[in-house]
Amino acid sequence: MSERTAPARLVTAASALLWLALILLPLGALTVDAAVSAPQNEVVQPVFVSLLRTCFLAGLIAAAAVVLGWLPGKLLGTAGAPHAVLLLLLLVPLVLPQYVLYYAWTLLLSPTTSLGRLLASRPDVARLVGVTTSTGVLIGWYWPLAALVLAQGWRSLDGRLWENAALEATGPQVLRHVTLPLLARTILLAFGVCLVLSLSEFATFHLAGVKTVGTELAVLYELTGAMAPVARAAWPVTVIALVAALVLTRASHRWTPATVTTRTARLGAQRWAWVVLILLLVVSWVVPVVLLVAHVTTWQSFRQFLTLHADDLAWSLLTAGVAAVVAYLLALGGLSPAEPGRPVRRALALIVGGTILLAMFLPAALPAVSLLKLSALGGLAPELRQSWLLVSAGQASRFAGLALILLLLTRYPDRERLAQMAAVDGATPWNAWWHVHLPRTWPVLVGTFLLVTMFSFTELAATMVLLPAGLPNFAQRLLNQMHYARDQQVIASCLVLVLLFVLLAAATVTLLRLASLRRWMPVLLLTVLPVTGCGRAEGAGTPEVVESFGRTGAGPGEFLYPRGIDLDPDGSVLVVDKSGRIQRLTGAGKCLGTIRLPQSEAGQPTGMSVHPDGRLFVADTHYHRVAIFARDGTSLGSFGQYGQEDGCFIFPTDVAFAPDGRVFVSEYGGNDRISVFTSAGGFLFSFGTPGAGTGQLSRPAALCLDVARGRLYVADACNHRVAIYDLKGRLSGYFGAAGCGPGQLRYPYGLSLLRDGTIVVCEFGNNRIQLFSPEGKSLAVYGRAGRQLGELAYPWAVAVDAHRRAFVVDAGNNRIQVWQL
Amino acid sequence: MLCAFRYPTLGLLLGMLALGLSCRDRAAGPRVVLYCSVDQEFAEPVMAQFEKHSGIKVLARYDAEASKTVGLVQRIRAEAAAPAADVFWSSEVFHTIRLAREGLLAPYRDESGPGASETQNQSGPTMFTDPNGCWYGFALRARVIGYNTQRVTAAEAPKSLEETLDAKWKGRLVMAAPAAGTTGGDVASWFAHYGPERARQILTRLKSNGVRLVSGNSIAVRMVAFGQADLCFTDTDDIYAGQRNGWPVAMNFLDQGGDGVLTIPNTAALLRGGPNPENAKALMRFLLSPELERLLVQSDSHNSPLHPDVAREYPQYALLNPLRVDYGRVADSLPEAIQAGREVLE
Repeated sequence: MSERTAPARLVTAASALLWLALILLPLGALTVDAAVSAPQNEVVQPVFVSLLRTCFLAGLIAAAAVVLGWLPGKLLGTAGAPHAVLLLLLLVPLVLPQYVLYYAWTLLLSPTTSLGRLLASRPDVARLVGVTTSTGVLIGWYWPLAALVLAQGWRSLDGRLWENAALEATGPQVLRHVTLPLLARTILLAFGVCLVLSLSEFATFHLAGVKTVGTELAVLYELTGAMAPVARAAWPVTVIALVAALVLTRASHRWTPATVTTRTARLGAQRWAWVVLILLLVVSWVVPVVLLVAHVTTWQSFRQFLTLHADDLAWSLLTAGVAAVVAYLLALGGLSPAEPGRPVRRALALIVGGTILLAMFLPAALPAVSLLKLSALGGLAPELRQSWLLVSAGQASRFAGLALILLLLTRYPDRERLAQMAAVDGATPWNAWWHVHLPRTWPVLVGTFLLVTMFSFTELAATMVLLPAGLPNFAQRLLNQMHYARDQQVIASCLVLVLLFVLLAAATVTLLRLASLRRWMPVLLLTVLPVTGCGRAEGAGTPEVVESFGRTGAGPGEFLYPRGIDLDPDGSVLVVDKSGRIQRLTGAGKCLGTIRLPQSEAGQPTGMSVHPDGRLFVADTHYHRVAIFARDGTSLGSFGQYGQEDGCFIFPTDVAFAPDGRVFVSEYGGNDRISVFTSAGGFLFSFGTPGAGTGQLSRPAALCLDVARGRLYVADACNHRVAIYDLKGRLSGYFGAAGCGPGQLRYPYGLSLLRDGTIVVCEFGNNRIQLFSPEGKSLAVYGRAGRQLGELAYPWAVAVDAHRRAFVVDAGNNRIQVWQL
Repeated sequence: MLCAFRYPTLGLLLGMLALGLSCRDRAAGPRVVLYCSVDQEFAEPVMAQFEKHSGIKVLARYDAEASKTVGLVQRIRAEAAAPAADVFWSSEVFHTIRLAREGLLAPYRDESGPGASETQNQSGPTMFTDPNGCWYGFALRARVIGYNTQRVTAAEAPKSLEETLDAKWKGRLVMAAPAAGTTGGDVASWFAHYGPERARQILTRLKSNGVRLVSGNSIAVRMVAFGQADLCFTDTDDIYAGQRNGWPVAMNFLDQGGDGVLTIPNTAALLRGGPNPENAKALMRFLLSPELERLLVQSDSHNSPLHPDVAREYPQYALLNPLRVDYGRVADSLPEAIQAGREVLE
């Protein structure tokens, strides 16, 4: 694999340093301080007393959140197309902080309203208002989180098992005997995440006058001025947070990427889930916002806010924005080492991810206090200790876990494959991320960035500890305004917050809409790497371009990612692409006719060959057969079917013909072999097994016969070599090895033969054509990555005519280039 | 194509950078660092006036309402080796006295002009001024019993601490936890005034009467206004805030056995070793001026003035029967009161 680039190393180093400084050292110092310093029972005791109440409330909130998040989570985990919209909808209620939502609801219960007066006349009921309202608001805030976690469970559920059960049992029976057992771990995980976060909840309970561990710990440091009692007092919460962080870290690395499943994507079946989702959104978010708007009695407060407190907004946004960037860097550190098959890196990923999540789950005052202490012990300059950067650091350490979870949720199914393709193409991990993954995930990345920014913007517990003198802060002012019962100012601040979110969300949605225009992104993406500076092959010569035809499209003479080519003895060119058709073209690209494949929904052919008698043999890759067509396009039947037995195929890739009429078919997908058939399609024998050793094949992508030498050349694509067999299937040798120099190969996907026995190899990975002598010596290299004539983007195949003209399938550029060799 | 998604992100980052750069000159020029436990809404306009007149930028760190004065006091202690603040403007006196005894405050004598001594002399009776000049009191608040006017008539509302102990208020009273804020000083004044034994009895009777603890005075008033309790112990300014919102709350002074109500002055003090000593003195002069006290009386907080001239202007806010108590003794009793509060009430 290629070396890491300077930017990648820079990001990794920054991530590691930040993790060390903002996560590991503070947590370590906290642990040491709590363990070493003398206990102070008088401080620990009251916090402990609150624990039972807190556990009860947090348990109630978590359980209710899981119940409410069940259907939205199922919707997100099983729906197809609107995945991004659903994700956005689920993130909406999280944007306004819980204490703002609580305050909005209390406006309805204010003694100046009828409901408030009614409640005031019923003290037995009124006494429960604080605890019930705060608990209800928190349930309304946490259900989207539960839904996000549950969605992962639904994604990993075996859809066939579930569907079969649904055919044979009633809904409740399926729920009890199938769904719940299968999702038990996910449900527990969702419950655990909500429970842990609720345990350290501060501002909402504080405003409601409900004493909990969160409210106690938030003020404990201020009261004692020491970190150790705070850490010790929080030990029950810490233990639960630790367990939750470990479980979530382990679980998150098993999360399957978001995929489009077919099992419950029917709108009718999900109508109720949508109804429930909308209702929940209305109750959790829309109603509180409407309450705020409805209680505006004067616009003076808005003018006052803009006149007096605009700097609060600006500074808080700056602090939160920087916190979000740092949180991202921290989260990337939690993601990057998680490479499969590398136990040390995997262990490191668990540690990094686990500590990041632990910092999020712990009561926020703890890491903040530790950070403050470390900054003093570390001899940090007073200017830095008293600067907004420390506030950003505290907020970042708190929300890096959230960024990590959301980054994990944004993984997509083709990620590994695209990463491998990019790597083979010479791209560094940084290049692959920037050019391949970022274009696919940026909308959610931006959404997550905004969410973390908003979270940091309204964060209180850590900010209260770290806020230096002279730094205006929106959240602290808002909380104080609530305390001073300045309703109009609170409403003005809250609505400014809503407006800020709406503006940011509008920007996100606009970007999402831009993204939706790129529905041909997978095709276009593959054109990106060659253009934008991935590794280029060495020693490439400039070919003489005789002709170039084709452009992107589904019309005559147009292509949608062409992948197979062959030349008819009559001089016409046959090209198959992803539109599910084979076009017959003149040598100048004029369409003479089209053969429509009978089936193409499952996938399109990757190779085909014209028989000397004019019949066309198509390796119908995704239908596990070889289809035969007459010159006029009439179907003449097929042979082969799915399977591993003799005469069966998994993914056939190419066809070649021996002079005696025998037909050679290459295939991959687990068989990775060459099968030999009679001209009538009867199976004779096969050779090759899957693997990278001698005599083994890994994705044999193309075949080419040298009749004069009695050779069969096999493009052993994933082993980056060309295998030489005799016509009885006996291995004669190889040429080529992985690399980008002359004589080396990267993913040879196409083969053709010149009359003098020169082998023409089309290298998908190196974006070039390479000529080899029959002895395996590299003779010439033509082309390089790019979009200009003479440059290629992921060439899949090549065919040469008697005049040494090579017809190169320039797949990524949706064209055929004709080069004079 | 790629620009379409790269540039918004880069633009956002650059925008924030520009924002940061545009804000970076906040602390340029002469400045003074203020730690302030007076409500931010009251203090900010006052500081804006000071900045306007003096040209000195005030970098203020306000209290977090949940922990009130104690949070800033702990911060001052933690920073004692290298103080970050110059001036401490506290909403109460007891912790200021403790800071003075710990040597963290510097004496302040205004020798800059003829009006200076007058200012100090006019800051009120001796009990409101530290003999060593380490702190000065002004703008009083008082402890009160807040009640819900829809549920308690003015006639039946308790008018002293002793009356709140009556069984008829069982389960109907809330108060802030004594660990922070003026409630701690209030409970400490019971220890100073009644003696420790009687004070503990009062706490015990409050507990047996089902008193509920909340995290601040304003929360207590909110609970009374919302019908979640009928009575609360709080400060005058919290009741004024509720009344401003149209809440059904009123107050009686929290009289201690007929001897008067605990009054709590704001205090201003210089921090020893602060980074901007000259600017700090200018701010002290402003804090102790009649103008500032007038602003506080006029504010929603409606503090009771100590300067005779201001007091004559606002007789409606006069505190007629203040408890004659030695603030030093109250400050001494503070740890015992907080501890007893934890042991008995929580």
